[in-house]
Amino acid sequence: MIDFTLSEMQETVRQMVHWLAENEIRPIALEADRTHQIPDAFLRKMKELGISSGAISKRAGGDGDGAGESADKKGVKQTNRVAVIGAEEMAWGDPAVILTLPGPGLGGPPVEFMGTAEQKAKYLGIFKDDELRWGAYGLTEPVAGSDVAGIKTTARRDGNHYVLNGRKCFITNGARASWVVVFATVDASKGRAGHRAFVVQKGTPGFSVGKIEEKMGLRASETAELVLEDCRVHQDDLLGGEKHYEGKEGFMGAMKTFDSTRPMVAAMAVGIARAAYEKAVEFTKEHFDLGRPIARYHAVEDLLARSQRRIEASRLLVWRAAYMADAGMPNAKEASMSKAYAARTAVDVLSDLVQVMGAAGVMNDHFVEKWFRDIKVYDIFEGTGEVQRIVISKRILRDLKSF
Amino acid sequence: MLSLGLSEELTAIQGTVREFAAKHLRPKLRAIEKNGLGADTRARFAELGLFGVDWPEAAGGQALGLITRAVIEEELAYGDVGAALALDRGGAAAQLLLALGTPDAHAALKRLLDGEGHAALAAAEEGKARDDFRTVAAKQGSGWVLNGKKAYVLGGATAALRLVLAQVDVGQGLAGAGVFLVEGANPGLRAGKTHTTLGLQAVPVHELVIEGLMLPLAARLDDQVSLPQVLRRHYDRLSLVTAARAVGLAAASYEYARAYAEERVAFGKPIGHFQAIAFLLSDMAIAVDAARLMTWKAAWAFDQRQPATADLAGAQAQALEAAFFCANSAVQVLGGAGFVQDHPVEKWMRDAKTLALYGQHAQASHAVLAAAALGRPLDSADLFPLPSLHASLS
Repeated sequence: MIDFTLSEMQETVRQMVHWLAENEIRPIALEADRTHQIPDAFLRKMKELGISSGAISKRAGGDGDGAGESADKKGVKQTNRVAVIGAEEMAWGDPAVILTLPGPGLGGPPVEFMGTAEQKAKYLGIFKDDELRWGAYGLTEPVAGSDVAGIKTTARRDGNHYVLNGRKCFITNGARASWVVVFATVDASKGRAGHRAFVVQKGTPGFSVGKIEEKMGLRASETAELVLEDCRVHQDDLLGGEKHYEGKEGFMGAMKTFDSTRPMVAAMAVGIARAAYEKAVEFTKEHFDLGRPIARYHAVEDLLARSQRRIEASRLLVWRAAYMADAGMPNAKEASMSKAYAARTAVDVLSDLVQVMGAAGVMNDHFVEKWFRDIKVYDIFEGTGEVQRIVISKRILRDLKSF
Repeated sequence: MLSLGLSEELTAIQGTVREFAAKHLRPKLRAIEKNGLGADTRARFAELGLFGVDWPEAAGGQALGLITRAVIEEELAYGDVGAALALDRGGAAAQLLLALGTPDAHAALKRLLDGEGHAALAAAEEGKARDDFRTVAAKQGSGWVLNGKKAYVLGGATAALRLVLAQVDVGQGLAGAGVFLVEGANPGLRAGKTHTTLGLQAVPVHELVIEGLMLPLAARLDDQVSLPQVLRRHYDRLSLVTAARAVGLAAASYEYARAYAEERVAFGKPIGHFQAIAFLLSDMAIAVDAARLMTWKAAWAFDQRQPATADLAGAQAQALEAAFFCANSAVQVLGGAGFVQDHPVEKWMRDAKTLALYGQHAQASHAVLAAAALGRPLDSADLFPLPSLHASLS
């Protein structure tokens, strides 16, 4: 049945995360953008409150270790819906700061989807103590980004170990991460069947951090290059064990990660766009031109209204993808639809809202200037808008295997 | 609980209407556009018993809510949006009667439901925009006499029930206007010219000439209510129906273009296997789904008796945008085949543009949305397409 009411738990999470975003995240965001750093005190506070990247919702939802499922009264899990609701509110606070929250980050889902019980305990377990720790996800390479199948990093078997060689780039929290999920190929001629995912720990000989990127936006977030030179990784750190890769599973593991992370990223884009929209509404009510608030001019009204409804439409696409995931329905197409639409919408909306605010919109002491820079990457990371459309195309057009 | 699947009951209704539309509307859409709906199609639709499905029981309806209406209208419009409009015997007039919600209005709806004729709303007028309607109603003896001219009235010439908006208190704008019920033929009211329209041609659009139209006192239906508030509810309801039809039109255009792109081969492969086409189809698929979700959310909010004006306006604007984008893109995907009348997409493109001028048109929807965001009263006169903004179809 159709019901757009948030469950008690969803509403609780929304309110709690919103409170955090408003009172803890927003106040440090502009300074973090200027200094490219996030205060340790803030990160510790988040940790104490149980707010962690990759497990925001589960922690906030109160089932403690982040590994259990939160179910509604009828026993249908609501993990994904809770996650996207939390993600929107978090990103409403600030899209850059939240990428640095301690926790497994994007490295979490592949460990959860593919890891053995021992691996889950070993790698996700480290986040239970009081230290500030991060996980990371290393897929992109200088010549292979969205084309996951084209990765060049090699893994050569040597006794009980694999020897990894290659470079990973644009890795969020790559330098500060305790471990990174690294995708590599054991046999380039096998294509996807040759792919393996390893967990590489910080300090492993042959594993080093290259340059830290300077970026257009998300400047408070660390984006690192990672270098693997004859890096020896024990076979126990092959995610899921060798058996997991018989058949297509290895590559599918990387892809399944996207099915759950894309709606999350889309939800964040919704949160940022909404935050900017609220700022713009406030601004246009208070700023007068020829004796009336600029909000009362049709051209401005029209931009505000179009922004508002597109943000709402984005949110509903996100909720739909999350609802399907919770109901156990395949949602790759819908996840990509939410990401493609929400990211494009957020980029358009930010551009329009900067325009509405005029000169104030490009000043560094207004959030919209920063969010305008931050938002572009939402149409790029976790699969560019074009990659989302490839995913959708293959699911709507008969016999379409590749372009 | 954030649940986005249709109930079993609604899924069954959806299936029934989809089957009806595939069998009786889509194959005959050119004939319906040219000659209107056949009596046979009307009769078959009547057998489904879906007219008045969203009306309250007091009006003889089934009280199944706007969400049910939304699902039905989308499926009918998926068959053909012009036919969907023609099948709606109540039209904009029924929405206004529902918005009035008085015993007299409900009684009129019941008579409409029990009869076979259709209703029409005479609201718009041609000429320079102003605050008052030019059509004037004056009290005379124990009744009313109306004089003036109405434009863009869907099915106006042959309607069994007409609602006429006329100025009672001159200089008072909408607040001084009234709603008058005219049932059956009346010597004071005749059809003027028939407008030739861009799209939605299954329903003819007329001018109505009103000269010495004598009505009993009780013909005025809005005596005890505020007309701006009634019109707000009217446009709210009408927006949802338009949104649902726009979703159906968008979905039909998308699906037609998608299927064509799978079959049509150029440069050695189906055109759908070129990114420019495939990505366009992907964007169409997204537009359809986004518009449908907005429409369902708005219908749900209305049915929950939440303040839904902004949701309904947003859904309508989103869906109309999706409809034109998809119809326009479908013509593009089909190329020359899209432009000729061997395929329905050129018709749907004309229909999409016309639908955007029906009731509370897209610009007015944006004004309503912005007003909601800015905390302005939603029944402000400047938020209505009538009479102060440019006129829309009714």
